[in-house]
Amino acid sequence: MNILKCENLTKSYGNVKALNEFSFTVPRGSITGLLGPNGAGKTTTLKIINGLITKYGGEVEIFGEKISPGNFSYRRKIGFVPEEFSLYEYMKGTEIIAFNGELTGKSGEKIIENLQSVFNLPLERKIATYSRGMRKLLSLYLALQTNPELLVLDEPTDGLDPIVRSKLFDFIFDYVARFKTTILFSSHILSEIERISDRVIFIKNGRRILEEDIDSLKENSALFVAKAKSGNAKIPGFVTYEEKDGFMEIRAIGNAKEVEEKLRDAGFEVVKKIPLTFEEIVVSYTEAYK
Amino acid sequence: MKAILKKEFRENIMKFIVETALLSGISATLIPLGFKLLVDIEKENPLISSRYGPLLAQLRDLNVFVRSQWFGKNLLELAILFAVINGIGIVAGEYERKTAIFLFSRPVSRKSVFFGKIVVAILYTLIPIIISTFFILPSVKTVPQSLDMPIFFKLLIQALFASTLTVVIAGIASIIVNDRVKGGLIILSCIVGDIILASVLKWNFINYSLLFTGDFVKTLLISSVGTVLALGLSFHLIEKKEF
Repeated sequence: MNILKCENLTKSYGNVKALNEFSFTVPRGSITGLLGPNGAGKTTTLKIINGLITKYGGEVEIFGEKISPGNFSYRRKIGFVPEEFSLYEYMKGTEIIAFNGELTGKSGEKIIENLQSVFNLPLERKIATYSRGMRKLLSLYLALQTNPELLVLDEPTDGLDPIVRSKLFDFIFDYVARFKTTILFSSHILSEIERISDRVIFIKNGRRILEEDIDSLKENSALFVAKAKSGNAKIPGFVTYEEKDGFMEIRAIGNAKEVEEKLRDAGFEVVKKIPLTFEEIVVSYTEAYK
Repeated sequence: MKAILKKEFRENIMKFIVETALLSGISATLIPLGFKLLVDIEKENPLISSRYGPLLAQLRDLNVFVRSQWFGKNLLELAILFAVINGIGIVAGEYERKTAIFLFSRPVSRKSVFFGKIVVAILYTLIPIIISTFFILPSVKTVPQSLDMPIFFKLLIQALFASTLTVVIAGIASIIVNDRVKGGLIILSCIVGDIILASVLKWNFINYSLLFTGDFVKTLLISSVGTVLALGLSFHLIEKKEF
C-alpha cells in the first residue's frame, strides 16, 4: 500500500520547468531514496509534499488523502528536515523543541531523550551558537519529535561530519525498525542512497527516469559487450554505444534477459555480460538522459 | 495559536519598547516645549507675531494644538511608520530569515499563523499609541487651559483604527514582497504619495491622513471596513503563498 502517490507533478519557475509530469509512489514502510543531480527537482517535490509550494500541476495523495491549499492536518503525520532553512537564532535548543511541541501538539520527550543519548546536542545553548551540522541534527530532532508516519529528509547529511553521518544512519535504521516509519529522502550522494534505501527514484530535469527496488535494479542491470560489424540494435532501456577495435561496445541497462534477446535479434554477438555497480547504473542512466 | 502569540510577543519586544519610548518621549515634551514656544514666540519675535497672528492665536488653543500637532502630525507620522514596520515583518521577516520553511511546514493552518502574528503586530502598534497619548495628560497641568476630553478620546480611537488598518495593509505587502525594506518602502511611498496628491488636489476622500483626524464616524467606518477587507485579502494571499 502506498503512503504517498504523486501523479504528473508539474512546476515551473518562469521559463524553467522544475518538474515535468513527475510521477512516483512511496510504499508504506519503505525507505525510498530520491536521487538526482542538483537542480533536478528534488527539493521542489519535497516542498510540494510539505505544503510549501501551492501552485503546481498534478496531484499528491498522502495517507490516502489528496492535498490542497488549506489542508494541513496531514502534516501531523509528517516529519520534515528541509535542505535549506533556519531556526529562530534567539531560541535555545530546548525552546525550539518546546515551541515545535506546542505547534504539533506532541512533546515527544521520549524520542528527544533517545536522540540526546546518541547525539548529545547542547540543547541549553542558543541556536545562534550552533554549527551547521548541529542545526541539521536539531531539525532532525524536530522532525522526529512527533513520531511521524512519514519522514521526509532533504539532503539530511549535508554539513554533517562522517562520524555523525554514520551515527545518523544507524539511528535511522534503528528508528525505522522500531516504529515502521516510512522514509523519503533526497540526496545526490549515491553511496548514501545505496546504503540506506530499499527503493530508488531517479529524477533528472524534473522527469522520472527510474523508479525501482535497488536490489532488483542491480539484478536486472548488466553491461553487455556485444560485437557487430555494423548495425544499430534497438535495445529496450538505456544504451550507450562506443566503438572499440572494430567492436561495438554496448552499455545496456534494463531487463538483462530482454536486452540479451534484442541484441541477438539485431545480429550482435554478446561477448561479455558484466553486472553493474549501483554507481555505474546511475551513471548510465544519467548519460542516457543527457 | 497560543504558541505563535508567545513567540511573537517575545520576538518583537525590543521593537515595542523602542517605539513606546520614542512616542512617549515626544508626547511628554509636546506641551512643555511645543506649546510654550507658541506662547513665547510673540514676545520674542514681533515680526512673526504680526505676520501669523491669527494662526498663532488659534494654535494657542490647547485643543487645536493637541489635535494638529499630536494627532495630526507627530503621532500620525510615527504611527504610520511603526505600523508599517510592525506589519511588514509578519511574513517577509520569516522569509528573509528562512524560518518560514520551518513555520509554514508545521501542522498549523497558515491563516492561524498569520492571524497570531498580525494580532501581535497590531497590539504592539496600538499599545505605544495609547501609552504615549496618555503621557500628554500630566503635562496639560503646566498650562492654564484644559483639554476637551471627549474630543481627545475620539481622536485617540480614530488613530487606533487607522493604525490597525495600516498594520493590515503592511501585512498584505509582507506576503507579496519577500523583502522587508522593499515592502516597507513601497507601502510608505504609497501612503505619503497619497497624502501629498490628495492635499495638492484637495481630494479629501482619498487622503490617508484624514483617517486620523477627519470626521469621526466616517473615518471609523472606512478604517473598519478597510481592515476587514484587507484581512480577508491577506488570508486569501497567505494560502497561495509559496515558500
